[in-house]
Amino acid sequence: MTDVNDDLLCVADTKLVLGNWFAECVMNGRSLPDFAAMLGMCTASYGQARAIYQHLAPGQEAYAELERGRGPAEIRSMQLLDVPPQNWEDLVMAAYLAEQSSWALMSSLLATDDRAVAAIARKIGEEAYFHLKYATGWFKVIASDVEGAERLQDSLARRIVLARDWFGADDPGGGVMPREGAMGGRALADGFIRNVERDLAPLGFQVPSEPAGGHAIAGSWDQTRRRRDDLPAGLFEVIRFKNPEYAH
Amino acid sequence: MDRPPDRHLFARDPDFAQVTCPACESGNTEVQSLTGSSASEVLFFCRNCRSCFNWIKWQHQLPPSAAV
Repeated sequence: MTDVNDDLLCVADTKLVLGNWFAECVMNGRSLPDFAAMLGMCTASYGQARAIYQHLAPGQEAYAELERGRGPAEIRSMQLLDVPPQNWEDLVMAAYLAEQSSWALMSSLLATDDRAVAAIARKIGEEAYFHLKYATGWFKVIASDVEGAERLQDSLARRIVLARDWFGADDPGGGVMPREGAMGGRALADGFIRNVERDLAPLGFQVPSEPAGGHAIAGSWDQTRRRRDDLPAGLFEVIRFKNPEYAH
Repeated sequence: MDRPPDRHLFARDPDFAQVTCPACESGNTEVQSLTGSSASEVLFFCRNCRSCFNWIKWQHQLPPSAAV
């Protein structure tokens, strides 16, 4: 698998996990539009994952292996989504950060020579646009509630460390997409942070600065998977394909 | 914590400012729900003819790129 395809699989697996988050959490919606939005974002996330799987493994058997034949050590989703949401604010923030960071990476592929990849990137962006609008709508509501705002700030502080970590190191071998004009991981992370600040700072939320001394997360970095350890068993049980006989 | 209706939350959203009702062509419309009957649609309400309609949400907008 090429480096670009490695990164695409990381995004696809992240969308797979995010889709499962929405499916699991939909009944926690606060209103009818929340239910509709979460179900919509659930199906959109699954659709994005499957579009990328299809691109990476167009053959039937290869696709089946990619979608439902891999174990927890092979799933490459963002560690940001390993810990389940602790409350409503945490759900909205985690989903927002997952969308924003995966879009940051995909946006670097909009101008790639591979037209199929560029089209996937654009489609993901078009859908992310409204997923982010949903989340930022909630941020405005939460900002007006003192306790809710505290929970949201706490979630931001905990999860953005993992979101930033996902972009990897900035050395030439550890950057994103080793191709001409490619941006390094740190440069993309900076762009990601700028976008998060643009959404959250006007509402009074503070985006924590990078921890001193670099990474403060346990485990050694695996650039191929963009993770430091395997998917937790509990999360794998949620996302694994339960009934392969129903697959088509 | 209650979320106010989407018609309030997105009342001044520039993305929806030009949406007109397909039945009466009035621009006096409001967002009813950010997700309509499918993931690709926004549910609107026309204050003029009091009908609901779905609006395809993908109009080629993209979030700000990080790769600038």
